[in-house]
Amino acid sequence: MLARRMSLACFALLCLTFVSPGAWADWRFRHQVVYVGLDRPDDVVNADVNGDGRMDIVCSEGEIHWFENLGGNPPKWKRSGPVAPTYKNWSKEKGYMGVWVGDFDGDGDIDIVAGAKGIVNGKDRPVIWFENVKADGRQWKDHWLPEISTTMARRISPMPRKRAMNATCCSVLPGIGSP
Amino acid sequence: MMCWWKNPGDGSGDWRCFDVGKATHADRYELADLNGDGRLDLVTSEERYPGHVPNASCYWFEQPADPKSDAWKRHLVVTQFSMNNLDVTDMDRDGDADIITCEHSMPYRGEPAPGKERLQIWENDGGGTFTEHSVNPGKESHLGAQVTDLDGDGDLDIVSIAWREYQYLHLWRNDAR
Repeated sequence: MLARRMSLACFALLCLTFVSPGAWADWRFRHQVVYVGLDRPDDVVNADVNGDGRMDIVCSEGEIHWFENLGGNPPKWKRSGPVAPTYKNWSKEKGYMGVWVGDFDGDGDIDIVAGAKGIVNGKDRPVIWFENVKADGRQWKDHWLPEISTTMARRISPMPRKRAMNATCCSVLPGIGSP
Repeated sequence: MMCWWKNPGDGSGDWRCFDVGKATHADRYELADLNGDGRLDLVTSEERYPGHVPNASCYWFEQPADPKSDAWKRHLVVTQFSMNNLDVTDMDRDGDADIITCEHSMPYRGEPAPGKERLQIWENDGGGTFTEHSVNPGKESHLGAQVTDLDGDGDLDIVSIAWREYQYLHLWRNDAR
């Protein structure tokens, strides 16, 4: 009887060992190529852009695109965008560098902020946020942030005493950010 | 030198800067409590160009009791090829924050990139000591290695972009269950 109990206990311990979600031995990573054809990407973040409950991928490159997670196992993906309009007056280096996401206008959907390279409409490396107009990621409206010239828009956070989300940006200089 | 800026809390522009510590070409940074003391620590990873020498480091800086006057203690996680990829999250769901890095190097003056980069998870023992787990050797990342659940199965996946083979948007799906 004792031997039976001990063998049952050992079996239970063995089961617990192998079903533990935190055990590294259980981890298996499967590589998947989401998309081929990026235009020299410079940043990537994740967010549920269209509010369907699945996490999508936002990538800054020559333009900003988001990759819609269509679900499935493995998940299927659809490249959507570009998020930014085509600015005709764009000199020096073209494209976007830092990109981040957040609800900047407080309407409950995901907006995107990005730092442009080069000079756009006469402004050196402007930071622009793109409003998700219909919350589905299909229509975007650009808003230019004043008095900021940078290449990396790295963090969005609610600041004290303000309801809206704020962008924290940093230049290419060493450091961990500036107000 | 890295620093943190204290928000005066009144919406004014009078933010004060306090030193955290030194790193050489610190490129990425994340904040998380790595040693379970309830205080946010700073993790940073260094970038090198062209990155042919494995002399870039990932450090974490331990926040002292008084982050304005006390020194932040620097802890080395690893020194290897350039790491301008970083994320920090509880990858194995054991209650502490783990570190995710990927190496990067570039061709330079006719010399090809070493091409032996690794995507790695640094498992935290809860006290800020880390054990390396290699996810996928042989693929470099540049400004990527970001973690979230992309296939909706409840565990954390890794998405990344690259420099040399920049056309690819990579996903490593975590099939932990």
